Amino acid sequence: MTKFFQLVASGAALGAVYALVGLGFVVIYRATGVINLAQAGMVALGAFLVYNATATWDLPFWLAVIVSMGLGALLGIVLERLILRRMVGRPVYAVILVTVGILLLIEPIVTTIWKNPGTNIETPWGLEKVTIGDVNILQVDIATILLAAAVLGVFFAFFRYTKYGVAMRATAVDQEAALAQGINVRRIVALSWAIAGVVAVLAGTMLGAGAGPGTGLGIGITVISLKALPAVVLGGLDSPAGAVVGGLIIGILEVLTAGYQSDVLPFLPGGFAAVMPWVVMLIVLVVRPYGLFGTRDVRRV
Amino acid sequence: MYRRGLRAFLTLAVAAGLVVGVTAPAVARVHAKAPPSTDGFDGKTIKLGVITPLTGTVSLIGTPLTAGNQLWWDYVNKELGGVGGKYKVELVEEDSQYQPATAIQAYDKIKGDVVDFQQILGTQVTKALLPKMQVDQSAGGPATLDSTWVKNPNLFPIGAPYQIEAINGLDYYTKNGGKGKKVCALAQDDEFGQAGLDGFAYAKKALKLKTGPTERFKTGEDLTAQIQSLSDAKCDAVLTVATAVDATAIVTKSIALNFSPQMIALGVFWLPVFAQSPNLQQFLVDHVIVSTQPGAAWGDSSIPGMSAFLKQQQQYAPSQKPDPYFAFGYVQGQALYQILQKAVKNGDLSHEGILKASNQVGTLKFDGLSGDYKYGKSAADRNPPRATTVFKVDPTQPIGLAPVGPPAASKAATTYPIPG
Amino acid sequence: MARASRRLVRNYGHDLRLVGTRRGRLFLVVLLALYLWLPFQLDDFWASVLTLAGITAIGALGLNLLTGYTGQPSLGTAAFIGLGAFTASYCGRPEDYGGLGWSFPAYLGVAILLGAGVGYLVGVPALRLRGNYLIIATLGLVFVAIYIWRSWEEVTGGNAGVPMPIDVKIFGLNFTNLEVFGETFGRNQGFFYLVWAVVALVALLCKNLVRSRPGRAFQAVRDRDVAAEVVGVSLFRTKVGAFVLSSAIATAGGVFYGIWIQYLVPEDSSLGLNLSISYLAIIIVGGVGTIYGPIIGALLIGSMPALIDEFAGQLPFVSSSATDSGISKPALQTLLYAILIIVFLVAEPNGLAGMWRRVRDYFATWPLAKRGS
Repeated sequence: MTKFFQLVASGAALGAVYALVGLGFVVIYRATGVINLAQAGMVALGAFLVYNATATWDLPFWLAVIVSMGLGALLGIVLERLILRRMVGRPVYAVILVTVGILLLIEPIVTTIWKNPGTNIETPWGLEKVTIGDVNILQVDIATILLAAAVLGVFFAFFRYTKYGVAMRATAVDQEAALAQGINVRRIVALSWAIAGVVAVLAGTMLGAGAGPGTGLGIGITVISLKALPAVVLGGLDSPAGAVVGGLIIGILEVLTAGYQSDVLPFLPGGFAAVMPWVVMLIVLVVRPYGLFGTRDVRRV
Repeated sequence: MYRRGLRAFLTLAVAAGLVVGVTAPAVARVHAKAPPSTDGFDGKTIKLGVITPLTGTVSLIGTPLTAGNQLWWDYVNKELGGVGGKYKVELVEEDSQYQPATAIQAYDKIKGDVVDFQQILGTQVTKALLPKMQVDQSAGGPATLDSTWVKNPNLFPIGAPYQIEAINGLDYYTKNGGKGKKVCALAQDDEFGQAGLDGFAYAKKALKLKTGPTERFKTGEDLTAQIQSLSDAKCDAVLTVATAVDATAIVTKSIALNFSPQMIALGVFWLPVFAQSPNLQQFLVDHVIVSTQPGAAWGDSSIPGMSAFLKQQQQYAPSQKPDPYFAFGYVQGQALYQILQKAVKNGDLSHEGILKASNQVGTLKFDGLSGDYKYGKSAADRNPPRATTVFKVDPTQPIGLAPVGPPAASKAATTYPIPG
Repeated sequence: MARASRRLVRNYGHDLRLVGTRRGRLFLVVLLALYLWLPFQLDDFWASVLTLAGITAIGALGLNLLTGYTGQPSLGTAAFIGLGAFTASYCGRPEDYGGLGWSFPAYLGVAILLGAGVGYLVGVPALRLRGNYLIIATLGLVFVAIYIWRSWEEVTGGNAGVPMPIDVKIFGLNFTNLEVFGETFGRNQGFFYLVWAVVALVALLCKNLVRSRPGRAFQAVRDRDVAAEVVGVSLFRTKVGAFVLSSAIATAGGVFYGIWIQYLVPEDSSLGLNLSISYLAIIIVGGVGTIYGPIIGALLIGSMPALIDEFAGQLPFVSSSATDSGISKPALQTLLYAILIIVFLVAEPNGLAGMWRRVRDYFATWPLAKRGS
């Protein structure tokens, strides 16, 4: 039984990472209808920015994160202005491919500037853990879960109560109508990219500190971040709550599968757990494409 | 507006690119018109090929390895005048990205330009290139320590194989508090992992080990389940057949899940920077030992060749930080140097000539930086060194490792049968 | 009588013509001559670069049918390339390597059938998905495919991969060691002939499809699928048909890839997302919606790494060895590749084909060309 609880705890940690990354996907999809595949690269870049701030500029951790968040927002705005704005009105696969191009762009930049430090970001949590009964969980993992919940809460308040949040919801429903209402759609879109940049930095910081799979700082963060896609599809591409719930479900399922696969599904070859999120995603797409909490897509002829 | 200007620029760029693209094959053709049996030797300079990952996650091994190769040849070129005192050596480097397909293309590209290969990194890459090398009669130094390479005539291996590293590490453990304890294994799910597990299987019989589960993982995977399983089985020690790419995750997860076995790791697990990580340091010092080549003991003056190596490093590669792969690359250079010396003496630097020289060179010596490697009259006679050094983690040392004793060959390691 | 011109057609027959103009016919003759002459001149390396570009062009032509003409974006090409490659490997490699030892036509046929079958299985559920969702669904497919390759050790050699020393013999010609009209060719040059002949064949097939009824159906679905259905174009048959065809062609491309590479490892980096992205990039850079576009794209993107290698060393900020600082050549390749994708998407959505068309039109209507687009 302890095994089960331990796996659930570790799964929640992994899921919180997926949730944080996923929130970045969601905020851009919600405002623009585009899946920003470059988000995975922005997470990695965010991690390295924080690493740079703590290791090279020697800033204290909290200051480093705040500075990097600002840089992340700037990155989002620059990407939107320079590239994404030119793609307005283009077919959706072209826009997604442009985000793929940005994703590809990030790797050589990161590896050239920072090479491969092989170490983690230093955080106040270190690798200290909390033990409840026989179940262990790292402090940094708990911090990630709390952070994901906090960001979700901020999003909720933002979309419900602030002017820009409501404007963003309006833009997501119908851009033309929003324009007609006097909403500055361009600014809203830029804002959504800025928020995605900030969330990317947060997700990257936790990943770089050793949360979730524990691989720490490295370009492998991009690969892990891509796995947040099944989480947002499950939750609903335009639902922040969906990203968190979907992330947790996928994370927990993934670790449980790894732990029990040999007992429950012995006929499946090893390593199924790593591909399971994608299988779940495919099933969701065929059965219920809008996920658990997403808005149903109604097409008008 | 911006779009029109960009378009015009693009059109011009494409036109320029076309011109370049059409003439490039012509330019390349000039190179290729040289006779097909190009030796990579033009009477003055000997060229050696390097196929290694210079980008991607494994570049953290490929880059220092190549730098180590380069240091050796810088020394030979500048202080000894080159091979045979006459012929300078140049390295031709290609990025394999650690993938067989890319490596094959790289091989095709430079095979006509080089005499042979100084370094080929990766078990899969080596396996992929071997059929071609057999056809072309070329040879190279594999930067992988699988025992399957020992008796391959197209390869010039150095160093004690992974299997030997594992056996010696396990032997040390049983003699130092591990007698009768439960030993498990955590291995990468590929050829490299299998090599370590082969050593484990042999050691189990030879040392009469009590064993527990063997967990496999794919690099980059979340390791919670595997570590949990080992922890549940109450393993006292874990033979960890993993590379530095996964080391951080393995240690982090072990800390997270409160699993503190004695970890016995192979040389490729280690990176000097790990010892400096405040998060991982305590665990590493308390629980990890590394069994690897003697030359990894950077700065250990009991090794005869170490002071010369360090002196050359200060002079020709002063910005190089202490790194066991750098040392290994240097030793690779030493090995090929001895073979090339023989080939020059025989007056034959063709592929066949080098292969012949490798069967005449006798025993390769490295001044203690690596174990002596007997090459014998044919590849089937070869015998790798059976001694490795066991290190514990010590952040005060240049590479973060301190030897627990001199290089030692356990009885089990000495009797391990090399395939082939 | 005025000559037939590409731009001014006077009857339906003209419109359908494969090569409408005299200039077009001349161009084809030049291409044929180039095809026959090149292998005599190319060294091993450039022959291998151009051969790989040709292999890529096959898959790109298939993807172009699906994405360029039918408007169904797909990141799943890598899965089919893998399918073709492993089919060729398992069925084609000799028995002492664990394979079935079949001949080339046999395993090529099996691969194409398999590709079509899997394409059907994918195409039917994909009917419900559009745009965004279709892309990530096909992305997920690639990961699942890699898992299957990794696990099916008997067929693929599992993690270690397996060498496949296969000779390709058709009609008595052994392409690995081609001896024809008294000339002996090496493997790279022999394969050049084989692969580019296949490219021409596939291009002809696609061109015929596109200029006839199925092609018009594809484009109708791409432009306004609901309207197409109203007009009587069966969405089911067209979309699924596009999937089946493009998968079969991609799988065929995979067969050649497998034979060519001779050593397959089922890994993310070689048969995964990056490969799919490169195919999509090729058809976009080359020009979607034309037949020659993907071929040009494949040539460009295929030879880019080689070109960078030859000439980038001169640039000051490029490091040429492991010890230098500055950007390494492979990183530079990825960087340029990414920039190419972004710039083409932003500035030239019709790719190189579109660029060519504009240049050609400008000269064709000179001096009456209008400024501004």
